[in-house]
Amino acid sequence: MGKGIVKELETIVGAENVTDEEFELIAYSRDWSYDGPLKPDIIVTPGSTEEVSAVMKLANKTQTPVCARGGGTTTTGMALPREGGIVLDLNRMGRIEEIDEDAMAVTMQAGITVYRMIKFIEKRGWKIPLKPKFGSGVSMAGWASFNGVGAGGSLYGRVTDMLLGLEVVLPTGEIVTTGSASFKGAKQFCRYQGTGPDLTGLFLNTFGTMGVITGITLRVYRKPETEGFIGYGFETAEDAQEGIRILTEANISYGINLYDEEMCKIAGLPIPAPWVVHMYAEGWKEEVDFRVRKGRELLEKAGIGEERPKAIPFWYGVEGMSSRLIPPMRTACVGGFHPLGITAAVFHAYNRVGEEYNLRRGMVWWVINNYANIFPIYVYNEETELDVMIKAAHDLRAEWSDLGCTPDFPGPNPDITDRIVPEYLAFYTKVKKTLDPNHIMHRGMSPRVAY
Amino acid sequence: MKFEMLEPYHRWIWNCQSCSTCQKGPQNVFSPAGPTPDRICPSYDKYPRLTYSAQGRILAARAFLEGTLEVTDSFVASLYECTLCGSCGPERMGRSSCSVHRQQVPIFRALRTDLVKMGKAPTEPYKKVAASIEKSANRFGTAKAKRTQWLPEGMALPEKAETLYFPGCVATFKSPEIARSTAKLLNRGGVEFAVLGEEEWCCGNPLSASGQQDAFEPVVQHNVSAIMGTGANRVMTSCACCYNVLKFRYPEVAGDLDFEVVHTTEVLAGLIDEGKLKPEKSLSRTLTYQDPCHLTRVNAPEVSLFEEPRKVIQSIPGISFTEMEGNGMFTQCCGRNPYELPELSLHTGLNRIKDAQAAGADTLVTSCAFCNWSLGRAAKSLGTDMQVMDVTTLLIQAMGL
Ligand SMILES: Cc1cc2nc3c(=O)[nH]c(=O)nc-3n(C[C@H](O)[C@H](O)[C@H](O)COP(=O)(O)OP(=O)(O)OC[C@H]3O[C@@H](n4cnc5c(N)ncnc54)[C@H](O)[C@@H]3O)c2cc1C
Ligand code: SF4
Ligand code: SF4
Repeated sequence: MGKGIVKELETIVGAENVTDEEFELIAYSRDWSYDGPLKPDIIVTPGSTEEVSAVMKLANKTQTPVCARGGGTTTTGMALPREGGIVLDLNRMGRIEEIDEDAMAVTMQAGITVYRMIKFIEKRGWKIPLKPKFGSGVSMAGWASFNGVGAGGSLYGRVTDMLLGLEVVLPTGEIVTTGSASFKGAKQFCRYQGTGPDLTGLFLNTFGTMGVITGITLRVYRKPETEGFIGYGFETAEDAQEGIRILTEANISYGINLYDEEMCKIAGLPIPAPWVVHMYAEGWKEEVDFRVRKGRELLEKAGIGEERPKAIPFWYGVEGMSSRLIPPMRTACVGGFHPLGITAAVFHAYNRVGEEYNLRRGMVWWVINNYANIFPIYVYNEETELDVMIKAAHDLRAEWSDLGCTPDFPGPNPDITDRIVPEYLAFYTKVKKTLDPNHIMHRGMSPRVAY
Repeated sequence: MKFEMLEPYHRWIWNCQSCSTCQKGPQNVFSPAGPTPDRICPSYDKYPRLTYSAQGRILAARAFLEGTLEVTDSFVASLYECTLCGSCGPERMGRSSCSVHRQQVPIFRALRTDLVKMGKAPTEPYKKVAASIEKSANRFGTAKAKRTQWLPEGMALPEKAETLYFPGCVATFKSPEIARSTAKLLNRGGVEFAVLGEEEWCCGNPLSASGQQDAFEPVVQHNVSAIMGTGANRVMTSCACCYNVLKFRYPEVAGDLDFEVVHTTEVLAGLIDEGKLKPEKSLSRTLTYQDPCHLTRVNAPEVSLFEEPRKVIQSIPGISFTEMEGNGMFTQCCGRNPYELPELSLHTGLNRIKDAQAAGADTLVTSCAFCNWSLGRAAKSLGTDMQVMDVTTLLIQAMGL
């Protein structure tokens, strides 16, 4: 990449916010995944939407690839530039712009960390419904681009379900606001209005392939009076599947998790049973008492599982994945989504692949509305078992696809594109090419599009 | 190019999962204990690029070991823009969320040592401090003869005593009121002590921290033998950095020490407990306390002096005590190196002054001469009324001494 573009970028964001020094590029060459090192050519840290816009205009003109980055914590290599170019690090854009208590909405710059935003609103008596468990650098933009989840999803869905609107810089540099604020004179208070389709969705779950998110408005909720919790132990995957089905159908909880005993071992937690289901309730005190009581009643009536009063209300996260491993053992997470009815089958496939490759493993499910988001972990020795792990991940994805799962965030995995229904892929290609005519946004990500 | 010191950390370096937990907070937002502070790494806070976080530095270290990165001057400069505050590696909530398991500071020190051996480091200010230490045995280059100028008038000290007071360069030359107050307090508490006088050399922390191991080792040998010469079985420091280096780095060079290393606040808290020091004068101030990283987090879990300084402060009548966001293990760095890292130190110190203001304090007390220096400089540059003082000078006021 020529020095000319570096100079131009320096003019836009200031010399201190651009670098192409090798050691700096290396710092951006990995994310949590086993991909990498994959280096950008230039790192740019813009401080405003206008700067992002100017950077995008330049990138588009010079056909320079751009990869937006927040915390860089995706589990499947999605924060890494596949073909060099610019990494646009949004971390300097971390301001809360407004908390509108009337609209129950908080508007922020997209580079703010999720946890800073939560801390900010919680001090004011508000909350977001999800409780994620990731590294503290995770940004709101990254979370939205990833369509993230958290405990709480069984009632509220995913983070994108709480988004009211976005401010986005298109690949060609225009700044656009979606949501109700796209209507002259209206504030950001609802996502859908009578002005056409939901264009906010174009930028969600798309991993920076459609534009750069620079601003986010999120719906917030009053903190509940109290929370409740029960933990149930099950002997088999099939019983556990039935347990989460019963609780989900009853619609009494805001969070349902399932995990297997191997996961407890990896996370260094006590093992209450071979399978453990957690149910979280929230609301007014009487309401929570009722929900917890009802959960117990339904499981007891079904005659499966036993209450485990000593189960700890935890949702598996960054500590579990990182803490207890003896170096250089690492964990890889090959996520996915599936209907609740195939929970046990999904587990057995995962277990089989793990056994075949002799990988230590543990698995967690978060129920999202009426389906499951899976976090299966394979533990591997980075120096000696990386290839084995990659093969296992590949086989597992294939087995799960055959079962009817959809991938969680496939990142650059090309076999994912092969599995997309052709008509959908053609439609997607049209949209992508319209928005990003020079194919500068996050090249190499799936779905792969031929330009 | 050989990275001999770095190589033993190979496995920890590979274990960094780029999880983003060492750049900025808060963490634990859903914990009943409440969220941790918004800032984690002072270096990243000042220069918000990954390169200036533990994650970036560890990835560079990995690339060196893999042979895919050349050492450049700008890399060296960035590596030294780190206060070694250890905030990137504390245990959190009883479990570490970081798979490098608190090895960050040792890794950075090892890398610095290798770079010095290769002739690529340290940065200029560290070289100058080393030259001053070589010439005058203190970091300021002040004449050795002035080592005891801080001694209170008329105070005669024995040549040998069980307790040796090691004020360190900053409390000797920069803030002599700290050394003087300490001496008066010891005297009042009936603790007989000696000092090394001209034989006190800089503790060597600037050498050890910057990787100048060859210069550090003779300093250790000298100070250990000088201390042994006084017959002391306990060495007491005013400065958290002296404390840390004497207690943890000296044995690496000199083997097991025949003396114990303690910090002033431990001794003062003991004297208060025993009723030998009775602060009776009421001070109407709202105080907060800066936990020095090197008295708490950096030493943890071996030694963490949280309680002792608070005990001293809270023994004073009339005061109102308030905690800043970020204390104990989650303390926030003071900036540490006003000379070596002038900009980073000021930026970091200013943040801490703002924390003290947010806590409603009018006085920011610390128990490290370095923190006192750095925070005092920041308060001055902010033009605030916030008074920065050492715990000993505070106690002196309350004792009416
Ligand atoms: C240990 C661990 C635990 C985790 N736990 C959870 C969890 O509880 N819940 C959960 O949802 N996820 C979890 N994750 C996954 C990960 O943390 C999420 O994907 C997170 O939302 C990513 O955010 P980030 O800021 O790190 O994004 P990055 O990794 O930086 O980026 C994610 C994607 O978004 C794109 N992107 C980033 N910024 C922008 C922008 N401004 N505009 C457009 N595109 C952008 C990037 O190009 C990339 O494709 C976990 C991951 C790990 C490693
Ligand atoms: S040093 Fe630790 S906290 Fe920082 S990125 Fe690496 S594993 Fe995470
Ligand atoms: S030791 Fe302190 S300044 Fe250095 S990388 Fe860690 S947190 Fe940042």
